[in-house]
Amino acid sequence: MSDPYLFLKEVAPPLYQTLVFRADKEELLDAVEGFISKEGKTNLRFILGGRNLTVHSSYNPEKEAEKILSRYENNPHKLTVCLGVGIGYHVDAFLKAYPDRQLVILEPSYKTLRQAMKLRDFETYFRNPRITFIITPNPDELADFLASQYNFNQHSGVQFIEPPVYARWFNDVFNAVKKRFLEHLAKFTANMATIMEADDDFIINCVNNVKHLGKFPWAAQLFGRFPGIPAIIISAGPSLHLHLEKLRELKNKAFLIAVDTAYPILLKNGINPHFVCTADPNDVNFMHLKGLDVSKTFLVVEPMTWHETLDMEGARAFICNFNGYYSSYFSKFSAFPKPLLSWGSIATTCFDLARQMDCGPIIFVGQDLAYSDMLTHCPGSRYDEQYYAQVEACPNLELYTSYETFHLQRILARPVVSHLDIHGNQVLTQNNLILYAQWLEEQFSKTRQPVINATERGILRKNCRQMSFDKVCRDYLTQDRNLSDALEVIYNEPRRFLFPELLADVSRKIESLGNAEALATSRKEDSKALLDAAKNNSEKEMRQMFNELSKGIHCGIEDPVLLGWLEHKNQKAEVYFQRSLGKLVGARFSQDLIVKMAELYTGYYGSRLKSFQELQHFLKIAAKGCQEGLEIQPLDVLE
Amino acid sequence: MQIHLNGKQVEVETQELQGFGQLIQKIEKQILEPGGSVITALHLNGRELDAQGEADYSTFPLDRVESLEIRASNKQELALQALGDAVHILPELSSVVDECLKKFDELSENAGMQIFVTVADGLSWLSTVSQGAEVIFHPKIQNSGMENSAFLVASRKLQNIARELLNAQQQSDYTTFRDLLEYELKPTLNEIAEGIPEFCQSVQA
Repeated sequence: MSDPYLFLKEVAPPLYQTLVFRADKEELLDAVEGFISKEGKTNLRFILGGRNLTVHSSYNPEKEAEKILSRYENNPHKLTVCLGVGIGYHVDAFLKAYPDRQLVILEPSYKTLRQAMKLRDFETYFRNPRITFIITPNPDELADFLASQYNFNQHSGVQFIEPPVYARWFNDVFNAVKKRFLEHLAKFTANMATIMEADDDFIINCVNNVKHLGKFPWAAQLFGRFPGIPAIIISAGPSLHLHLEKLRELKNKAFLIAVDTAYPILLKNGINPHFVCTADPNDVNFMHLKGLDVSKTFLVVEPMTWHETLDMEGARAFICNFNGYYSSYFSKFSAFPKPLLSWGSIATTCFDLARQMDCGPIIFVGQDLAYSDMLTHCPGSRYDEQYYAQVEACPNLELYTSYETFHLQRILARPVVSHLDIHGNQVLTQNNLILYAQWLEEQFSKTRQPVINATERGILRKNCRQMSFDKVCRDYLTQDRNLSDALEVIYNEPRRFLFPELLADVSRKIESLGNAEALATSRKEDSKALLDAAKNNSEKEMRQMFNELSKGIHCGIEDPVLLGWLEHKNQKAEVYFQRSLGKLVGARFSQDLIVKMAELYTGYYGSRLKSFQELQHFLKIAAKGCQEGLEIQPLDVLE
Repeated sequence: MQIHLNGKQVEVETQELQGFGQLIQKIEKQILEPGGSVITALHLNGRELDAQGEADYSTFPLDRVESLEIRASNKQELALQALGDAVHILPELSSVVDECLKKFDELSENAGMQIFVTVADGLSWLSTVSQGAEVIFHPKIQNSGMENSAFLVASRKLQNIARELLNAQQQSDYTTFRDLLEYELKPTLNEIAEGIPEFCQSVQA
């Protein structure tokens, strides 16, 4: 092998760079040696704290691999994770035994992989679509990537293949991975529950916002219209106060794109940004805008955003599309449905807006993504008002608390971690903020325009230039432009939203749901009737009746959009039904089984019936929104 | 003072002797060694003494020795007897090694190491027996050209394996430790067990 890593240049360029140039910096192991045993077997030796630790059996590594595999749980429904690759004897054994199964390999040591790749061909592993390699000594990263591989709909758990030497010497790493992964899983399960619970929030906002979808232009109309115009992304991080004075003078030199949290701070400081992006589906983040004058800025709003946002007096907005579950449907009726990215933090949307507008350079301020100066946000945000309201309500509070304590309490409300900031110092932050930083850094690497972080604090470090905001102003923000007028021109372009087509489609959907509702009602009754029928019918007849019930569980609905919504809306019941039914597979056909199945089907059709009714209700609101958009009166047929 | 050797009374001049220790030395030198025998058991005043007891009583005044019973055996007979025992003990030792391996396979290295203590005791005994046999039968081994007999070759190998096991244990290199148990120690124990009958036969010829 001339260059055993060469193929990585093609399949994993960053890994290639790491293995070739940075593997020595890894601190997990002092060194890794490769050797051929006297039995002629390729092997590795970890050098760690003066110890020499042999990785595989030097006599019969294949037999050892079989033994490792025999301890593997071997559940086809669980995600298989291999903790350490070494030379890969156990991976080969797994691939031989389960060629069709997905495998995630966590390798915590670059040094090991680098040495192993000198001794055997790893290209087949890297090119195998069923194998995912995750290589980093950082347990948090291993866990985060592992979480990204876990599919809640596909996997019912995780099972491990553990080579003994890894299990023993990387025990701390893997335990940390497992712990964090379980936290992810718990969070994900919680998120699933949140989505299930908050599901109606998304659709309620969407249907209530329908009337605005043609009232305002769409953000995609801005795309590609401002090449080379600087844009400043203004977030509400603790350091924002450093730049407020300068920002006041920049409205004609760059687009000011603010997150909703920063807007009240900017207003207090006499700054009206060109855009304020907001997207939360509940009223919690609406507090940043509520009661403020939004008439001198353009809100950038997604259809699932809290529905009072666009009802605000004087609101002027550009509608955007995150390709969300419900909003992607309504976006299809816009002439400008091209989506904006959104990844956890609204700052990511601000960034993508600037990028798609072709702005450059894209400059970040207030993007600490960390608790600089032990503050959660820049002073002056609406969060601070909560503190002052508390003090006002109870003046004695000042005797035993302070503004700083208030921020500290907010910081400590969630687990904090230490992280390197742009100056190489440790700063407190949260894991989710680190993930946002990583996402942005990855996006920067894919962005044609120059990206500058002028925050002067925080953890956003990679793939962007670090520069003081003073220097940015001197070097890039020198030319006056009439940006507000340019935006007004686009804002006043003719609206092109297809309300008639949307109304027609929504009406069809309402009718289809009405029919399904009638069928679900009858099937629910049929399910109940099975209980009585069991006494008078043979086993064969009962089986036929269950077969009938299991056919056409969608109650005649074929519209893929509606089926998707139903699945999404009804997923709690769907999951329960499928799992409960799955448990009964293979059970003896008995009176007890009939009762259980009849109850299951009754409950299932009952939940479907409720979904059909609720979706009709929501779509009727959407239909009214269409009519308002069309400035016509509601049609009687829809009532 | 009555002294019995293998049940027969013997007379020993004790006038110039300073204590019990010197008495035993005299018996060994004058009576046992010329016949190639060694003491295998001692009873002083009806009380059995082990090696430590013998050392403890080395200055015991002879005028307080009422009775001394000595059992002695021939060294070669002893060695052959120990080798005969080894034939039965080795399979048991091998099965303890299997237990130890099982613990390693279950990733219970600590439990495996605890079981290995028994194996180590067995190896120590076996090493004493094989080294002793090589010394005792040295002239016969040389005369009959048995230096490379299966038993002796495997026994010498055992010393190296024990050293490597110790080294792997000190390094906490359990992969190598396990390898040595399965692929070196177990076959060697087997070779020793299989080589003992031939060896015994040759030295008795």
